[in-house]
Amino acid sequence: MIEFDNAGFTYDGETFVLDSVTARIEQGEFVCILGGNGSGKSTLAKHVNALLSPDEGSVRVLGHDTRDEDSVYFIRSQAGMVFQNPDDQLVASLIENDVAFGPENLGVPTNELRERVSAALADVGLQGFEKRETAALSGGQKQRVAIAGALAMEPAILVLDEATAMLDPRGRKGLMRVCRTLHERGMTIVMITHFMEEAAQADRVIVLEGGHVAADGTPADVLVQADLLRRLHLDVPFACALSFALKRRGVDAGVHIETTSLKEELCRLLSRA
Amino acid sequence: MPIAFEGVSYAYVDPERQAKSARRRKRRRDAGAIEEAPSLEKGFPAWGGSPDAVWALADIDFTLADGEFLGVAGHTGSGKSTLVQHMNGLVHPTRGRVLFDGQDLADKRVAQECRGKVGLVFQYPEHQLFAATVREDVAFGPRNLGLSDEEIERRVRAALEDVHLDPDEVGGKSPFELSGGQQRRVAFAGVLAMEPRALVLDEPVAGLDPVAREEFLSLIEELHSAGLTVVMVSHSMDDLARLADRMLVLNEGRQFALGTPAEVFAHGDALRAIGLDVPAAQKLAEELREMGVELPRDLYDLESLADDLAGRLADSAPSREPKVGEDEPGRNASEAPCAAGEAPYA
Repeated sequence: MIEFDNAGFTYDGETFVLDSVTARIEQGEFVCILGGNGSGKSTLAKHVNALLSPDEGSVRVLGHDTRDEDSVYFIRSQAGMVFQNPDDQLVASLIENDVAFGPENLGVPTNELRERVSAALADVGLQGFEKRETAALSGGQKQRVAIAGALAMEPAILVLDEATAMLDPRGRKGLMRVCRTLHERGMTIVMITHFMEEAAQADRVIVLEGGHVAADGTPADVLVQADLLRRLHLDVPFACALSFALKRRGVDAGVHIETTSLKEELCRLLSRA
Repeated sequence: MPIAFEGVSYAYVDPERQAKSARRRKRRRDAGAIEEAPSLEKGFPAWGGSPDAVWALADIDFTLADGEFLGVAGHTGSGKSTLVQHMNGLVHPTRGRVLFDGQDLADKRVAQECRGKVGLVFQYPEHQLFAATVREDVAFGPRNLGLSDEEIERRVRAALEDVHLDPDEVGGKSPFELSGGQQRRVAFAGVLAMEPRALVLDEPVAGLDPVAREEFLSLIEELHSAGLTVVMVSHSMDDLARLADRMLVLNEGRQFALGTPAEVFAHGDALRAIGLDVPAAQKLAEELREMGVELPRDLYDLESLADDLAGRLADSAPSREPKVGEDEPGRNASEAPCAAGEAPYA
């Protein structure tokens, strides 16, 4: 459904920011893209909704080639994007106007527009906020309005480019909860993040290094590769780091990526000790 | 004592004007118009919580010692950034006063003087880079101090070296050719070139990848151990626990907690109630403790938690390394911290 086939992209004609990327993301998957600063994550994300198109190879979204100009509108209506800075992506002063901006431009009739706006706001946990001012929202709420704006387009894919980077822990958790709910309803989620705890909650993790795919697999497989992650300027999740620290001290509590499972294992070991 | 806050409150809206509009609303209400008159000072959270609330800071009171590292935490809208802007007289308290070396920052001359000595680094400081070359960008502050060319050159070199950039290599480049992490270093150097005594950092590592983050934190640690007083605002409790001597936690513009990280993180529930977390290791230690595992330290980080857990587990898995830390109390086999089959968490 999102197919990168040997896709290459260069901004300046010399260095390839994406370098023969081949990956296939299925309908309904929750994928996290990881990588250090400058590894090509954002560039990759911009290919999903045809903001950029590959210089080499091809990217197909829902069967449509992103280089095909006739498909661009269709692809953009199907792949919603949310960016890092909440203040950069709200266009209207009232929340309902902001959420309605996308579908209005698609020519959705007024009645349906209202329904879509209320439904989208409900999806992100902001029911009844239609008439509130965007300026009076917290960063986390703004990001959720940005997501609602994307949802009102009724997309099949939601791409989040470090959408949690500027949020506080509460805002981050709220955003993750929204993403998981949407994912459970069948939406494809492509999420770029630096937070390993968030990546641990995805179905699949793709790690980029210098524009190509360095690792691709389940969080349980990828997030425990401490050497690889360190080389790529990434970290392992806390639970995994603690598992390794215990191992160095001669205690084998297994390798965990989520704190709850590590805690259960520790409990089991401690009750035996 | 470089910076002291004495009963500082700050309102983005002039309270007098607010009082006037409250009186106007009262008249309308008396005349029969039905509307809710929001209370300004009672019961309403500060800035961000409600559009009617005005107090961004309320009764902030603390003294920062020379060479101290103060961590400031609080969720979005708790008043962190407003607090930070008070530190060098960019905004003045509506009530109370801010002292710099015992002098009131409300005095324009004092504020002017203080601005060179308290370096403020805003969030995403690289967005403020503007000059054609790195050297010029870093030199901007000192040049405005009216220093000689030699002195400016000396300071630029020193500041770039402080942030681990080679002045000869990057000095002539455009800052926009550099990577995001390097750009942030240049912005940092621009503040250091003013040779401040205190450094106030608003979310200095936001948006960096984990390794760049780590490098930046050690850089801050270095500057602090070289004698700079540091105030760091952060959402990362792990970073604050590691670096800060003391922590100030803000909630709805008020001083929620002030103390050492160990003191502050001892109240995990209270912190969670206001939307904050405790460091990951501390949180796990707390949860294990609730299930009856004895963990004696006040504040845990990853290594110390691993030490103590390994100590407790030593009976079942013999350790090759000597154990670090004090004698683990209650390390006998009969003590089962969680009974088999029992659900370990709610």
